[in-house]
Amino acid sequence: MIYLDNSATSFPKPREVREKMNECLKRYCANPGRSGHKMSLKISEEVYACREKLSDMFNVGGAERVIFTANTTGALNLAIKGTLRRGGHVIFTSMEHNSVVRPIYKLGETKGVDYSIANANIYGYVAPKSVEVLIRPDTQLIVAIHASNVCGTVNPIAEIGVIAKKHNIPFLVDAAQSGGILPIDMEKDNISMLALAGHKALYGPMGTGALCIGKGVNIDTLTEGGTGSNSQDPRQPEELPDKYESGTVNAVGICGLSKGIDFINRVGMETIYNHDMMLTRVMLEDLSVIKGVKIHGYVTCADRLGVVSVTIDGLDCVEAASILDEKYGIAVRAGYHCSYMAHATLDTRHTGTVRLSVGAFNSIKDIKTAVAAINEMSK
Amino acid sequence: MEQIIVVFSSITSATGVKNHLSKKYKIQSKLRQTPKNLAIAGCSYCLVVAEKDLDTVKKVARDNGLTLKGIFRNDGTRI
Repeated sequence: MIYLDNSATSFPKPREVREKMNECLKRYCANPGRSGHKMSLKISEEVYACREKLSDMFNVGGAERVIFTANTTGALNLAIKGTLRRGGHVIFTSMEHNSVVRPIYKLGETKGVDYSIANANIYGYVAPKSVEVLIRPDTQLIVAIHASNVCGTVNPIAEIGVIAKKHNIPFLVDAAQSGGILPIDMEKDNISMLALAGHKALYGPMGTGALCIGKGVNIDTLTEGGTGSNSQDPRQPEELPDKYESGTVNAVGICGLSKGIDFINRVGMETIYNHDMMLTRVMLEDLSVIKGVKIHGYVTCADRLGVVSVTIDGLDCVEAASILDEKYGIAVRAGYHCSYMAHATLDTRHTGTVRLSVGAFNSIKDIKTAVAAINEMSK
Repeated sequence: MEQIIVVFSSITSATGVKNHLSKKYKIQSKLRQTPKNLAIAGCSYCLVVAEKDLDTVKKVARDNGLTLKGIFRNDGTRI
C-alpha cells in the first residue's frame, strides 16, 4: 500500500513512537498526576516532558500552558466555547474546517453569537486585510486555519496576528496540518491560542491533541472534574493545565507524541518540510500536464504544504479514490474533507476532490506511481 | 542536611520546578504526593529538597509564574 493520506493521520509512525508506547504500556502505564507511587510519578514526568517539548517547539511560554486534548477538534472547541460570550462576534475564514465552523454555528444558535467570514481567494489564500475589515467593537475572537486541509494553502498567520494584536482581539490558529512541519512562534506571531493535532505532522498517535494557551489568555472551561489537585475544593482549580484538563489524559498516546516530537527534532523540521515539498513539487508538475486533471489550490510550491486536491474529468471523486485503493493500492481521501466551506471557496462544492497528502516516509516512487495511476484513470 | 517539603497545587507545577532545579541549578529534589496533613485543599504534589536550596526553589517558581502552596519542615511545621 502506498499511503498518501497523511493529512488525515500520518502513517507510518516513527519507530521510536511505537517503541515508546510499547514501553509505557509494559512498564509504567499508571495514572499520571493521581497517585504517589513510582509508576504514577514516572508517567507524570513523561507527560510533563511532552508538554515541555511542545512549549519549546511553539514558544508557548510554559509547559503548563499546553493543555492536552483528544484531538484538534477538542482543542478548537475549548478555545472557541471558552472565549465567546453571549451576544459576541467572531471572525473566521472561509477555509475553516468544520471543527471551527460547527462550534461557532452552535454558539450562534444557543448564545446568539454572531460571525463574519473572511473570504479566501480561489486558491484558498486569506488576505489579512479581508480579516481586518470585518472587525467590530464586539469582536471577541479571530480564528484562522494555518494550512488548509483541503488544498494545502498556507495562510499569513503572522500578519493576521499583527492585526489581532492591534485591535486587542484574541487570535486562535488551527494548526492541525502545519504544527510540526512549519515553524510557529506563538509569541512572535501574536497567537493567543494554538490548536494542534498530535497525530498528523507531529507524528504521534491518534487520540492526542493540544491547545496551547498564550500568556495573559484566560478562557472559560469546557469540562470540570477530577484533576488530582485541590480535591477538597468543589470548584475547578484555576491553575494550568488542571483548569482545562479534567479526567485522565491519554498518557500512552502522549508518550508516543513525545517521541514524535523527538523524531522531528532529530531529523529537523526544515528537512522534513523540504522532503515533503520536493515530493509535492514532483506531484504538482506531473499532475498539471495530465489532460482532464485539475489541481485545486496553488499549482506551485509557494505558500503551500504537501496537501494536493484534484478532480478528474468524468470521474466521481469517491469512485476515483476507490479505484486508487482497489486497483493500485494507493490510499487517499476523497469527498469534502470535513470542510465544506473550503470546498465552496475553491469552487469544488459540487464535486468534492481527491486529496493526496505526503509525509516524511513517502518516496518519489510513491508519487510517480500515484500520478501514473491518475494518468491512466483520466483516459 | 535538613530536608523541607515544598507543596504545589498541581503535579505539572511540581515537575516543572523539579526539572528547572535539576537542569539549571543542578539541584536534586524528589517529587512526591503531598502527605495528607500538609496538603492544602486536598490532593497535591510536593518536592522534597534541601533547606539550603529554598531560595532557589522560590526563585524558579517565581520566574516561571508557578505558585507555591506551602513550605514545611519534616515535622509538619510551616516555614
